[in-house]
Amino acid sequence: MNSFLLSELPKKFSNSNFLLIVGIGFDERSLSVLKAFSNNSQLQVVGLLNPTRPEIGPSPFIDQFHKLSGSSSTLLGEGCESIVGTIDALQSFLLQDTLSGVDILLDITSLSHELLVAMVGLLASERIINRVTLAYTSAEEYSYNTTKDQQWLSRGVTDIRSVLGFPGLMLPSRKSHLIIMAGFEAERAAEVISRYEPAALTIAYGGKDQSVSEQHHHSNKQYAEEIRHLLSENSFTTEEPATFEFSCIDPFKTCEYICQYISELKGENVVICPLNTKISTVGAALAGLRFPWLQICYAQPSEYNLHGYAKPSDSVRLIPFSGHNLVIGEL
Amino acid sequence: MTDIPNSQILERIFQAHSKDKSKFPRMPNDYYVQYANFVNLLRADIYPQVDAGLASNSATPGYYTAHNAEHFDEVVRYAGDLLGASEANRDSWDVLSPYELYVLLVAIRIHDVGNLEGREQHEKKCFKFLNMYEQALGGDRAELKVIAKIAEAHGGKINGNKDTIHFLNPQEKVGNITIRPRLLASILRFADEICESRNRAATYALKRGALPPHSEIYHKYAAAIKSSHYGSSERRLTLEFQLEVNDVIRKWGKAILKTGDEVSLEEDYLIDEILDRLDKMNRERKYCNIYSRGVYAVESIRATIRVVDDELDTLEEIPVPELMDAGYPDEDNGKLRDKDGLRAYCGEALAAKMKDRT
Amino acid sequence: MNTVGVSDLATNPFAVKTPENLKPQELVDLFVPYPEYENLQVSGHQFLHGHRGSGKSMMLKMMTPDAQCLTRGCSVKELPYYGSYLSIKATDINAAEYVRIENEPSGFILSEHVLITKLLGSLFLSIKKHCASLWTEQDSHSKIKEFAERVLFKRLSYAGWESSSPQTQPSLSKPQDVIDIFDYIHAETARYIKRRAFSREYLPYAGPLLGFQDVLLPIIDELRQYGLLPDCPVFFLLDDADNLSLQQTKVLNTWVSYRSTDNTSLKISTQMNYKTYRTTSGIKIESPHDYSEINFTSVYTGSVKENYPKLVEKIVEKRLLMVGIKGVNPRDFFPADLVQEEAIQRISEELKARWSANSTGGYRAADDAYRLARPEYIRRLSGKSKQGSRYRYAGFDQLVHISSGIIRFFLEPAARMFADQLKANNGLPVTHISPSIQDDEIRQQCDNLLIEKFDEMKGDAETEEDIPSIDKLRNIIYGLGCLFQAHLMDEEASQRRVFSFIISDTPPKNLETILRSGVRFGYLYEDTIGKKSGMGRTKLYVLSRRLAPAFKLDPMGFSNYLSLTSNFLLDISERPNNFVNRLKTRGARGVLEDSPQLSLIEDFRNE
Repeated sequence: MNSFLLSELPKKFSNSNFLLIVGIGFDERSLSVLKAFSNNSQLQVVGLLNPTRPEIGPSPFIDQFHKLSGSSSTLLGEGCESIVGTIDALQSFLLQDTLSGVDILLDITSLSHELLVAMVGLLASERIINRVTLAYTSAEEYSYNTTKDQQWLSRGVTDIRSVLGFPGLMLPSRKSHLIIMAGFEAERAAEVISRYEPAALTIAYGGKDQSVSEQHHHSNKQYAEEIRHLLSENSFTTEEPATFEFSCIDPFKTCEYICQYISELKGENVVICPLNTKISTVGAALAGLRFPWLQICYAQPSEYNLHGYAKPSDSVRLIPFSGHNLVIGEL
Repeated sequence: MTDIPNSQILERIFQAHSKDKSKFPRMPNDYYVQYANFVNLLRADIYPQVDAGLASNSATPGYYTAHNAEHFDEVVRYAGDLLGASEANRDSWDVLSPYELYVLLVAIRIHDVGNLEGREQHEKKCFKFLNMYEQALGGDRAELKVIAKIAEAHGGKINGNKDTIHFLNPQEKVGNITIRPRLLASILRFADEICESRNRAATYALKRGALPPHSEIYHKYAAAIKSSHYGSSERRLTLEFQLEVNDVIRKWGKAILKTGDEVSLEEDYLIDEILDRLDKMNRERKYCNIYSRGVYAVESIRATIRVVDDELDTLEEIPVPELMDAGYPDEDNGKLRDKDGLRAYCGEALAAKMKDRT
Repeated sequence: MNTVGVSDLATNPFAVKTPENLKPQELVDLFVPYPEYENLQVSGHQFLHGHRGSGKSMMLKMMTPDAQCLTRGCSVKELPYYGSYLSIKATDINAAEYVRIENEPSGFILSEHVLITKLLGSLFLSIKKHCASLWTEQDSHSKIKEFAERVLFKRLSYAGWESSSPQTQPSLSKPQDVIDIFDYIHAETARYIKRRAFSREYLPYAGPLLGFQDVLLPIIDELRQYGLLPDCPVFFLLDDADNLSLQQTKVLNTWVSYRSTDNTSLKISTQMNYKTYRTTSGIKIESPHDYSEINFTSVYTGSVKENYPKLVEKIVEKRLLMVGIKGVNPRDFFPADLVQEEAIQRISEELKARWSANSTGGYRAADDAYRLARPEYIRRLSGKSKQGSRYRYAGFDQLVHISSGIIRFFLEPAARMFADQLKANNGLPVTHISPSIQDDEIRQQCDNLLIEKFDEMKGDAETEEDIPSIDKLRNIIYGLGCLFQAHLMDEEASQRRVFSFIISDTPPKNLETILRSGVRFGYLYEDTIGKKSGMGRTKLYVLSRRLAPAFKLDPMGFSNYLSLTSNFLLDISERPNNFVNRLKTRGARGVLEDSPQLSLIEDFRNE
């Protein structure tokens, strides 16, 4: 996977007939990729909305999406309150005969982690994942409406649930093992841990060479430490959490690191909670495909920093699935 | 094959009403075809073997009264009688919804099939046997389980409790369709209770004394039933028993008793058996009425028992009282204030408790 | 980071370990029962409702065989009941895929099957762990084998289990073999569930369907007959039943509606978020006919009101004893700020004297003077400069009240206080926690509870839709805090300690949603109070006393409540600045009088 300028996208895809699926949320980066293709009037575009949440309200970018994408575009997921409805709508759309064999460019930047994982499951289930390239617009700055020491992206946890397509295998006789892919929200992670009360815990973080930047790695590691500190502060007790590193920028490497780690945990009910980058979440989803006994869970935040979540940069990462031998295991 | 040989009125009503697919949970399915196929498969595979299985696989092998195809047909017939179904009202009949009719009929058709593996816990095997016909019945195991639970309530005990119907829900939603499991179970149960008739008796073996001694009285009982009829307008079950002198003057074998190493034959007079069975029938009447009242209720059982001579002239008519709920209820069950759990809340006890609180 | 292992419990007496991670002896050593605990131990279905940390999981774990054997000093065989514990984790058996099944014609049958498999799996795990003493090595194999062949396989086959599975091996002779069967059945169901993720079309389920009446109860009965379980009732201890899906919840309620057999009871704990009390047939189960209830959050009623402080006292004494700190009164271990208490006492005397001089007769001057002295002290402090004139949230009684009836909210800050005191003592033994450390920790806890400091409030919105519900909740909490503070600061107010409110009209759905999330996040607690009219009860919302420092409120004792309208609350949620300005201008009484439908402060019936 490589990083490109957004402006280079049309050239990269000039010769291909593809479908552009744009995840539309509250993030200002929602339409960055679509904007890059604004001169391509022949492009077939689908906007995909995250399930509605009363505390977030509708995406402010819907009108702009329609303007940019033209009258032939499709908006999916409107009014869907649960992931099942959104996935069903997407599935119906993708199974149209006219889309048979068509490549897909999927902009995952503004998809919720939950919808992202479920989509990977859906694409694998429909056996079209090899035709998919993921796009992720980087951020120039996060939490730009706060000072550096007051940065926040999301807060609190309302609900924890397994992601559609990744229920795992939770056997009554086994103990639970929770793996947190730590991000930059220690409190959310600590809340997930304290709600799960797992018998065993692993706190993973981005490796030094596999982070967006060295600074990100250090922040990430620091947040992982802060999770441990929060756990001890709140007297949640467990054995010393284990740890391992994963990649924040290469989902296939993330998948390998996770699979290598969890293959030692077969006698446990393993649940993974991805709280890092969307790209690493894709890696978790790929691991879930390979080892279907792994459950992927999603901790829904109570609120997001809607007014200053992220400023778009002008670069985008592209991650094609083609050429990768994706293993889909049987439960 | 969608014809049902010897179809009963309820089945004909079901056929007429099954055309409206919106009345069923899975609209693509043709529930009448499913039912008809199922019945025909049972007739071909299972019904012919139930009696043999019952006789040989039961803990006490014996010659049981018939549990063949005719028995199941009879139960359907009596269920129709209880529900006031007739050719005259075939099109307008709406006591049960079409889907409820389907559930009831399937439950009736399977309720005694477990006897193939022996009498003991036969009623608990309905789901197991329904699964064998899963594909014929639409392929939804969960739906079959709903039906099986209704069938299983027709007898026996559930965890030591005879109130088997109570464990069903008064209402159940299957998809968008609501059914009344307790009502359906009560219909099946009482129809099964009253469908004893001469046809179930092994007449040939009886006449020739060729029955195992411990099975005699049951066949004698069945053979004594001259008629059994439920009148839905009077809400009365009318039974006529006709006994010959030879039936009455001696005891008949009923069960094998084992006391230590000793084995003996329990015997009883036929008239006593009839009266006991009438008692049981009355208990079943009262019990099933609990769950069917509002739709129908069997208000009484009127039994006539005649002892006749060789020329069928009446020698004696036994004055069986009409079995019904009548008279002012007495206090035989004791006062509420004396019941366990309430004594601590009555009179002085409660007053003392509240005084302590203030 | 070895936060609180066994060794930590030995050094920090207030360390909180989740009940699941406690060894049986630790559990027994730490446990101090609520009076309701006795009621739990009799047959009958029961619900225990309480926030996380209120002690309900501990109570359930105490009912497991090993803890009971230790407590009673008896063998498993002699137990009066057998408690099989099962914690329903957040994502255990309520996968997102269940939504598809729940919409299907007989989805509840599959939901019941999933629950039964889970219960039986945990029961056999428990048998494996606890019941070995019931049988000799020799006859255990034959008993289990006989049980499996005569009972288990038979029941499973009635339920549609295909006996040709690999699990029917002749060597089935250990509890683990039975556990493996249930794991296998569960895995089969899990495979089916997973296939349904992206399949909207109906897929037939071809596995067994285990039920409560046809499988669970008969198996339990036979386990007793075969001596594999002691001959006593079985209690299924279901922890955190909020985590069940809606349909699973209805199935569980249906089991409750069967009323207790004498042989099996359900003890169900919830975190106040139980989805419904309706059964699969739509009928509601009700207390006391179908079940009884224990409510840990009724801080103002029942035994919890009277006994909670005593309970905390016993817990503290026990825990101090565990680390070798003997004979210390909890009030001495958590001393109040003496200077502060003396000042409050002087104010109390002052008030008493003033009222006695103006006595109108029949007035309980001593009690009221004591109650009002503390708010008056806080009020007088507000006039001074903030430096060094801060009210101290310290002293055992204050800590108890601040914990709002949830024992974890006492223990967790206490554990941190202990660690801080140890550090401050430079390793010397801790004999007490200084008031300043107590106060610091309570204030820190308050800050942690608040998502952001309440000195920044959202501006007044143009329309309701502009404000996400989290912000509305925050505005309400802040507004209420300010309102309660204003009451405290009002010298002329007859009732100055206000911590709660009722809604005098029928709240609209949007307000209920906001308040519900307030309960969920721990800002508010729900309780009920008898109506003045004598007809029925109404819902009481109590601000968490953990927020007392944020609004300079007096957390002590039981307080008065306000009767507010929905519009009043909604107005605060949408126009908080406007409200606070009015509060500053008109004062608490003025703001309340402005709203003509408001009642004024009402006293608790209990006081």
